[in-house]
Amino acid sequence: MNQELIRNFCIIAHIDHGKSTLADRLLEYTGAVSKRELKEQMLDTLELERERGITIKLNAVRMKYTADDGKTYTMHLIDTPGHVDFTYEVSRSLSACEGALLVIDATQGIEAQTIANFFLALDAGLEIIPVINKIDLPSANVEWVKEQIADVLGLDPEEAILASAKEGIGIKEILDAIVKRVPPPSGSPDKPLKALIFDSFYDNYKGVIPFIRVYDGVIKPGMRIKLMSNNKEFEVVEVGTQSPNMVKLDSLGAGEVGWIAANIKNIEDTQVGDTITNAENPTEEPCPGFRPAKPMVFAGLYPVDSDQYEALKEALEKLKLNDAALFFEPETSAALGFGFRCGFLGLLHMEVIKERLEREFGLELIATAPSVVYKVYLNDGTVLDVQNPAEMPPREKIEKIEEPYITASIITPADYVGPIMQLCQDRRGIQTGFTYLDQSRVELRYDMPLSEILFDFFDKLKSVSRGYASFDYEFAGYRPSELVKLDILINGKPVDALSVIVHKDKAYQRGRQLVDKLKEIIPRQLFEVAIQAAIGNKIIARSNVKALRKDVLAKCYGGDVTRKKKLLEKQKEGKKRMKMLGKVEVPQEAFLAVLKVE
Amino acid sequence: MKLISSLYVHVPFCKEKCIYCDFYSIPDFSLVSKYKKATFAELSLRAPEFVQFPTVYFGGGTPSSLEPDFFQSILSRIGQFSEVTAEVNPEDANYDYLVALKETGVNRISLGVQSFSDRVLESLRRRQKAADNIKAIETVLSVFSNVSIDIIYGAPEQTILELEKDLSTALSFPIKHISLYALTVYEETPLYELTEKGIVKLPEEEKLSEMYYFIRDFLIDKGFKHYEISNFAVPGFESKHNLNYWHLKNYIGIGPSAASYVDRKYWKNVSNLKAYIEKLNRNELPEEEIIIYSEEEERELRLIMGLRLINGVDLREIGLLEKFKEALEKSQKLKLLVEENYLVFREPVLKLGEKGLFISNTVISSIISELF
Repeated sequence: MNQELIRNFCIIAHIDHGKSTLADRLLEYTGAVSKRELKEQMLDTLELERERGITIKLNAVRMKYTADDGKTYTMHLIDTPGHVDFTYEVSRSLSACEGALLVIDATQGIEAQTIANFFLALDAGLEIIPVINKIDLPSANVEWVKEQIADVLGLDPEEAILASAKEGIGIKEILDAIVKRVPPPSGSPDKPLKALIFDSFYDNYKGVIPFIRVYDGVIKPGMRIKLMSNNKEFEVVEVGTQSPNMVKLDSLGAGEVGWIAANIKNIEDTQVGDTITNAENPTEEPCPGFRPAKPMVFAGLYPVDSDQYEALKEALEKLKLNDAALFFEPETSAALGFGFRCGFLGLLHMEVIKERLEREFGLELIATAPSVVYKVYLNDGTVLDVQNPAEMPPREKIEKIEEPYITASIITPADYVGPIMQLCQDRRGIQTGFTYLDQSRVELRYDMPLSEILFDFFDKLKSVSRGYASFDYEFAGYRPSELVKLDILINGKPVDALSVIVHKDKAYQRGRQLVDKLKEIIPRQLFEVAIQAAIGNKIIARSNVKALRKDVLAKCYGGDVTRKKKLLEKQKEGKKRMKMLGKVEVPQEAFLAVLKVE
Repeated sequence: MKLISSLYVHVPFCKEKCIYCDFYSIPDFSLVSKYKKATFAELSLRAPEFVQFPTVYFGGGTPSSLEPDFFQSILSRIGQFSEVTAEVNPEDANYDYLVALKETGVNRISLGVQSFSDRVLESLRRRQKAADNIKAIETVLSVFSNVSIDIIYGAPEQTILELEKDLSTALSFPIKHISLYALTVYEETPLYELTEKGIVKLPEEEKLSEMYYFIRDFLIDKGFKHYEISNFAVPGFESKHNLNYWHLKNYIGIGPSAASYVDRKYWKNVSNLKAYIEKLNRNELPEEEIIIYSEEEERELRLIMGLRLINGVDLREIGLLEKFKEALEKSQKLKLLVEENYLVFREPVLKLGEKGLFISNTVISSIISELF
């Protein structure tokens, strides 16, 4: 294929700014899909993605476009995930392109993810084409957005394309701009094969299917290839592209984007960012920037019904086939029984996995409070990675603890700056920036412990800003912190699944909140139940659930045994759902309580 | 000839519904004659052959709102009976009526006095006064010797002192049986709304528990036998009819909303008088729910009902001895109940312990959650 006629691009945007609709429109306009075939948001294949309006898995589609110069161009649209958990995946997708459409909502203006994605694209050296979308809406303010493009991004606002993906306005202009402004791929078909993996999925018949961008050389069936991070070799069975269905090709050459099948069984062998080369004639340098997927957030997942343990294991294995970033290993809790410790890229990733397990596999799950990975330095010089509060060593053995920090960017109308600063301060945030983006909008930058955004930070941010603030973050390494393990004791016995790690200064507050919440949740029972919060041996908060005093049926219902049975059945079912901790029956909700206080 | 242990007749009429009552009743007396016809029809359908019912119970609603001829018609259609109870509202307790009732075969009266305190009666929005209740007891006792009264506790702002006076007054008469009811707030009753809105304040649970055990001690001290969670009797005067329920004997209930249990088959009649009448006019059975219980479920029912008896239940008799012993072996919950005297197990008998009486639902549901 003539490299001069290839254009590789992606669409980047803040959530809900219209990325998926624009992608659909481009496919429709170039005839890659007919209107009839076009389910809305073609590129978002997972049911969950469609529902939440977010894109999780990457995808790459080939389309043909005959421009005004009479030439027919092959365009590859490489989709990018739209959430902060997947920043690394986004950066890999971007490096498979030469250009990016930066979509900005004409009614919302630039948001936190607009900026984050813009810088990622800039770092990847892409040609950036701003697209002001939703100009058909009555509240659209094109001039205002143009000012922001100039002031905040430093781009020429006159180069922005005015569009409405929904109404089909500006689509041809966008395609023409891609042809004219995005450079064709460089790279040489004569050099040894060098291709980047930017996504992969599992096919029941073909095994793992990596999506690749070929930089140099050619890949074709029969060739022996090597993955440069782990030196594993495979023989290519098929290569092809998506348009948008899977289509087989004879080969993929320099500059092209597509998929390969090579009887790869394990998705961990084809990690995003890795380089594929010719096993017999390898390239000298792999693609830069590879890093293995690393879970940042951990939580225990337990079946409510212990009979579902095997089903949960199988479901996790199935999800893992498509998700190299998902980590899990068996874990046992004294309180919850057998389950799995699971690692996720971030909070959204965790939520998505939990929801898929419940929805697609029909499992009922208890998730323990999410935890970050703490680096614990012991007095004897060893360093532990602790991702389960229950495994925190005793205090006297610890020299110091470090926790992961993030750099957060929050963009908000100036009216809400006060409460947002208060919120960030409450979450141990340290302000590192305060910039007016225009007269009414501010970008706040904070360094914050990752653990502090695990608990309803997004919800709080939304509520204090009436939904107007946008948020983005990236990891910023480990820093020492004064952390303590907060234990919850029920009738004097610590409950492992309820332990949390908190900052020393917040331990009292959190202890009180947890104890009060548990008091609400634990029903009265035969005995008085003492609930305590403790740091080491020191009790810092306590409360009691009074003993049950009355639970007797008044009348015998004229012999209506069924009515009585039904009433007791109801209580019986309630009891079956409770976990027995010593003498105390604790409802499942209690284990979620740690998530919901504040 | 078939033996059905008990017959229950539900009389759904009440001049006025008590604010705490969730039994089915209506104030429309124009339907009385149609109701009578329908119950006779139901009895013929249910018991086409000559059936003996050793005990009969007329409950309500207000059975005493009907003339004696109704009782006569029912009782003349069935065989021998040893205990025939009629619930009587104190307002209806006039001498001539009671004498006529006795002639039909009724031999036991359950009198709904609830309290001998004007303040308590008023707080329950009952129309009668304490003096009316005393007069009613005297009149009933002048005709019947086997008399039971209902006493309510846990009424709005009721005190132990008031309760003690109630009991002393009650025991100044030679009554044979006391049914004790904790005032219970059911949804969809006026009392529910009153308490939700905070207009009526009920005693706290601790207070109720105290009242319950106070009454128990008081009555036992006076020679009464505590034989079921909520029932006390002079020995020999336990309610045979109710014992049949607790032993899960076969029984038939007729009238709207009445429940029956015969050989693992349970059914319940429609809780609507008009629907009840219409169905029987068409010669159809007026059931709205039928459940056939399995043998295992019947064992569970026997356990649930039997544990209400102070003497408990013979697990061997109901076929649960091995199952219970096995569960007790494994279950920490059950062990705890026994250790702490909420439950007493003297093989083969299982019964509620003293502490378990007042939280019987919790204890029983714990047992069945471990066993079934």
